[in-house]
Amino acid sequence: MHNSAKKFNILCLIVALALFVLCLFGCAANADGGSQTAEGLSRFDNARLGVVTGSLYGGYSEERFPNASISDYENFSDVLMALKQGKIDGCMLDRPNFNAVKRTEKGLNCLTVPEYSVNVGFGFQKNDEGNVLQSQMNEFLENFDGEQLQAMKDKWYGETEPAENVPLENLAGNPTTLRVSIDMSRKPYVYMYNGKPVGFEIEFLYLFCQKYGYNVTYENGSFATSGIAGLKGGKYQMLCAGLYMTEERQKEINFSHSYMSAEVVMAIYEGGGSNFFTSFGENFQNTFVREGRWKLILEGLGTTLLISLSAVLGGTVLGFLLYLASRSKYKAVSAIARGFAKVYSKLMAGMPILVILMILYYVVFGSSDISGVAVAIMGFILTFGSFVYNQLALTVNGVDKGQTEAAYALGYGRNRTFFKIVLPQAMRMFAPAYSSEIVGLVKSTSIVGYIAVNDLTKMGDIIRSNTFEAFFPLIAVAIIYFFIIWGITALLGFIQRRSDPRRQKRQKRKPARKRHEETPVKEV
Amino acid sequence: MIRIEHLRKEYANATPLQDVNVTINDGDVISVIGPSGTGKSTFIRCLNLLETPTSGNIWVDGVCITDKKCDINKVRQKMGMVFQSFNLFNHMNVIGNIIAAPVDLLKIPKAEAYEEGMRLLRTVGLADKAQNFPEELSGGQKQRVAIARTLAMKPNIILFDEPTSALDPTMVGEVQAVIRDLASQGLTMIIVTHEMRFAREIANRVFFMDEGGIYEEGTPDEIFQNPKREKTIAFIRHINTFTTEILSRDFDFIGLNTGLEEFGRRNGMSQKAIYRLQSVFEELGVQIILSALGENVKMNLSVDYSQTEERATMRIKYGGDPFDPKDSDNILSLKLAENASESIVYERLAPAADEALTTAAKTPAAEALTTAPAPAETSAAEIPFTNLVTITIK
Repeated sequence: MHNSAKKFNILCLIVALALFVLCLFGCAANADGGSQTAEGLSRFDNARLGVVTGSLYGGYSEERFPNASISDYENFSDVLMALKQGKIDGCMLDRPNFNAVKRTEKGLNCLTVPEYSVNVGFGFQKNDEGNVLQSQMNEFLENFDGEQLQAMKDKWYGETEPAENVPLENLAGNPTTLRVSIDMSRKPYVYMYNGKPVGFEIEFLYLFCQKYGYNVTYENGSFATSGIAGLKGGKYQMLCAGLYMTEERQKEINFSHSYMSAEVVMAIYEGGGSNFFTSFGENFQNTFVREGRWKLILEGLGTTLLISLSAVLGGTVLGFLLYLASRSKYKAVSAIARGFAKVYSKLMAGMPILVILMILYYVVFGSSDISGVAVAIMGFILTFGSFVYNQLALTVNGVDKGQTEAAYALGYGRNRTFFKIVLPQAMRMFAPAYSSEIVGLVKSTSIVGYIAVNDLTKMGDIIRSNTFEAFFPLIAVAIIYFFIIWGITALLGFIQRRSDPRRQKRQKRKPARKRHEETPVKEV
Repeated sequence: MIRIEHLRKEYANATPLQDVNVTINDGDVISVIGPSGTGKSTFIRCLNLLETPTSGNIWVDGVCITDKKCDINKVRQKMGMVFQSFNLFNHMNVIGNIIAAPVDLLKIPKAEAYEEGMRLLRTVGLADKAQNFPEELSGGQKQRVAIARTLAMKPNIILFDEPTSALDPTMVGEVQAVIRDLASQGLTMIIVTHEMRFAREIANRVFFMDEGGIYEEGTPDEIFQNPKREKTIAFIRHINTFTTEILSRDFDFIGLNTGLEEFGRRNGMSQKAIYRLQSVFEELGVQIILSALGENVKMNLSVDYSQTEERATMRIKYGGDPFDPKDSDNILSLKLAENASESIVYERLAPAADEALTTAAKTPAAEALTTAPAPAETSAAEIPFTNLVTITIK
């Protein structure tokens, strides 16, 4: 007990220290906000520009500023973060997007890039079903009251945050269900408020569904990594992501008529004048308190734990059953099981888990509406099951053949020998590898964001894309992972020690030794 | 009673058992001996089907165990086995090892099994180790626990597969004592062993295995004193005598010493006697005689052991000029050799009596007619033995 309390103190110290060091980094980065003034676009000719990988602005930036150095980022909040930290000098985005971001980022300013404009619309599948939806949406757009549209735009694109929910849940009674992919990093078109999707497109979607009698199920995911692919694969029927209607995309998917043409601006950061320590509390507030965002982190934690636990349990059962089948006394069963296990574990070993997940999500279950969490659990069960099978085979083989022979010679049957004699000994070698594999599994669940699952990491990202502040979401997520893994390791270690037969003996001996020490004292 | 008919066991690249036919009666204690690789272990492992025979039938107490329908687990409960490598269950303590099978298989209540287990541990002298784990025991203790574990199932038959081969020499005795004790209790026992003295003393029948089966069978006296067939005779002689030739000063001294030790152990010599045997060879044979020999080293060493007198006789033959090692000026080595031995007797061999001499004498003469023989070419084979030292060691 003493020992573990000491360990815990050291642990907390380390975490606190790490936090402090990271603070300093954040401080240094933040202080370097830059104080540039607008002098015209020519100053970006040799500048550092940031773009989202695969976005339209990548091409625009290269075309307009051929000598600029361009950095690719995973999503828009990363680009903005880089801009704030002075890693890049500017980034292009559309006007409504800029306005929405500017609401919280006072230091942001912009210059219009007159050469470009973008058309925004909804995406649909390129097939009969998609054509029907597309024409319904076009009809809806054509008949939409112009005044109402303008009012909506003013509300969502304005300078103040419209504190308003979109009651998508009211659609629940409608007969047909529409599977929609949304990208909550696309403020003001689609973003998160109070943990729910809101924005211009979401409200529009709501009105559309109301009119045509659709119910909506939605999954949040980046349009670049999951939205468009899911639409093509049949996973989703509609895409709401403030999507630009480029020629290239039009080849892949159907677009509704554009509901808006927006001008493109170059965002620059002129420093908010607030240093790290004054904004510290505000950032904390934004990350955790505002709109009850801590609940999102808890929700993400729940998802991460659900996926991890289910994968560990399911994978253990799968691997164990497969191993039992492979040593079945019926030759046909064992031959099939062995052949299957061989191919299966080769496949699992030869592919990154992310690729396996994406194949499951977009190919195998591409046209079904099975949830991302279920696919993630399935994918991790498969990889974990493969580990359990292989590790079992390895450790059972590692038990001396003499143990089996001795049991047989005493009259033990095959199954009894395995469960009573071989398996307990194999478990002693199996356990350490098992716990480190579980730790690895928990860590690798952080990639499930790719298949539209809002796990702990993804929730941190979502908060980040709302606050444009990296420090607290990332640190909070890191600390939570750290404690999950620390807890798992401690728990498994405890179980391991508990089940060691030698422990009981040690306990029995202790009082005996004490008595031995006491006797000479009495004699004296 | 075990009846074995036309037992055959084939592997992909060998057939250790070709055709074994034998009947083992209740209460028989059988030693199975023979050269390595003649299927001794395969034979007894076939008796409880740890090896599946290729063909043939085995009846144990009237049950045909080679029949597919036979429940071999039931038969094995009554037929214990003790392994060379002990095979105690590492995850259970000593008493756990002993009571596991009676509790699991015979459904004996745990308390009762525990009492019986402790009784058995007392009979093998290990009651105080009941709570220890196998890894905390010495080899001899492990094997005694393994025997107790086998006895806990109250078997009618016990198979011993080289029970003392994996043990330190100092621990062989304790295990043999336990087995001897069992032999006097009327259990049917089949023991594969390389300890010839033990094999002879414990058994009422001895199987000598070779050529894919039981090559010769008889009472211990018949096999060890009066073997009938050629290979048995050679084997028994090999047990009783150790011979080797030394043709270079760089001979394998360690290998030879190991050979002497194995010879001694086969014959049940005490560790001290084996040590004396080795030191006589080193001091007298190597330090004195070998260093006294000229360029052409040739030495013949043979050791006999007499079971009845418990005395080893070492004979060292060598060529060259007459040389009595007792005249050596290496006083220290001589003293050590004398201390270790009972007697040292030197004699000069008559050259004519040695066949090697006649050939050696002829060859140079014949060669002289054609080419001049270079003295350096004289090979070791041509040197006659002209000296003999006989040493007895007790």
